[in-house]
Amino acid sequence: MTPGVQRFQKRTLQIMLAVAVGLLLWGKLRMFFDGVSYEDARAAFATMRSPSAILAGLIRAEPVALLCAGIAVLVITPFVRLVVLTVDFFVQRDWMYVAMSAVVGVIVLFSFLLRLH
Amino acid sequence: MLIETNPVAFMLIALVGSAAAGCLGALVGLGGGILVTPMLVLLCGIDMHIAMGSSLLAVIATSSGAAAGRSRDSLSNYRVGMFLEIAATVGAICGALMAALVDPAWLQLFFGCLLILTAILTWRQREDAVTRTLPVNRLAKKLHLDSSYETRSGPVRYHIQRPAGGFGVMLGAGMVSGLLGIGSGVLKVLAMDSLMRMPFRVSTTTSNFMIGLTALASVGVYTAQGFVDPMVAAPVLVGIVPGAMLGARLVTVLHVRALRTIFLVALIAIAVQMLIKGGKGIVPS
Repeated sequence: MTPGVQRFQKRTLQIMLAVAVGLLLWGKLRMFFDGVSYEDARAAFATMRSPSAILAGLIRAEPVALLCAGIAVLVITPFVRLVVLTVDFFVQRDWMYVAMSAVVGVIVLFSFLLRLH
Repeated sequence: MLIETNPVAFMLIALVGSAAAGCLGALVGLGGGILVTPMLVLLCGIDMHIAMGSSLLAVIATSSGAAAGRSRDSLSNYRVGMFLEIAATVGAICGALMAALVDPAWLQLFFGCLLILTAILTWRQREDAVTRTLPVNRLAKKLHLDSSYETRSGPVRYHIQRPAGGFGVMLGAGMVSGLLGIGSGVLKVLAMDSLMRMPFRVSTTTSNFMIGLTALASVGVYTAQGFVDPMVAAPVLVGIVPGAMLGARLVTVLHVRALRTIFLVALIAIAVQMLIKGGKGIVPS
C-alpha cells in the first residue's frame, strides 16, 4: 500500500472509530440518565430494523438509535479498508486483485443481504 | 442477567473487563475478542449467542483500532490477505449460519476447547524464520503473493508456500470464526506461518487486517438472527478500543514474556470454567 493511501486510511479509521465510540458513549449515558431500562431499550431496538428508522431516531437523539448508529459506523470500518485497498490495487493496475477485492466485497454484502430474507 | 438486575454493575464490568481484554490481547498478540465472550457469559450471565455477537463487534473494533494506531504498515501482505479472505468470508457465513442451529451449551464446550487450543498455540509462538531460501511456488508466483519486508539490515524477500493449502485452512478458520464469534486470528496466523511459511510478523499484521473482514461477514448473519444486542455491545466496544490502543503502546515498555505466561494460565482457567458451564448445560445435575 502506498504511503499516501496508508495515511488516508489511518486518518479515516481514526475519525470513524472516534465517531463510533462517541455515539456509543452518548447513547449509553442517555440511557443511564433518562432511566431507560433494558426491557424498554429492547422494545425500542425491535423497531429499528432499517437505516431510515435508525436515522429518524438519531435525529431525535434517542438512546437506542445512538447505540445502533455507533455500531453501524464501527461495522463499516473493515468495509472502508476493503474499498481503500481496492482503489489502491486499481491505481496499481493490478486487475487480478481488484477482482479478488470485489469478490470479497460481494461476499460480505451478501451476508448482510441475508437479513432481508 | 446482570444487565436487567443491575445495569450499572453490568456497565462497569463490561467497560473495565473489555478494556483489560483489549489491553491484554494487544500485549500478547491476540485480538482480545476471545476474552469478551467468557467475560459476558461467566461474569454477566449474558446468553452465549448475544455474547458472541458482541465479541464479533469487538474483533472489528480491535482490527480497525490497530490499523488506525499503526504509524506505518510495511509488513502486511494485502495480496495474501485478500486471496485468503475469499475462503475465510465464505467460511464465516457458513459458520455463522451453523451457530444459530447449535445449542448454546455445546457452543460453550467448543469455545472452551478453542481457548485451550489458543493457549497452546500462543505458547508455541515463535519468532521470524528465514524463508527466503524456500523455493518459488508456481501458484504463489502466478498470484503475485511473494513479497518482502524491511528490517534494520535491509529488505528480506520471502516466498509463499502451499497457497492452495492455506486457502483450504482459511475456509475452516472462517467457519470457526462464524461459529464461535471470534476473529480466529490464532488459526490464521498458524496457517500463514506454519503452512504457507510467511514470516511471523508479516502473518500477524496480515491476520489483523483479515480478522476484521471475516468478523464483518459473520456480523451480517448474526444481525439477521438477532444475536447483536447494542445494549450489551456498547460498553464492550467503548472499553475495548482504548484498551487495545493502550496495549499496543505498552508492548514496547512491559516485560511481555512473563505477562504472556500469566495470560495463558488465565486463559486455561477461563477455558475450564466454560467447559464446566457447557457441560452442566448438556448434562443437567
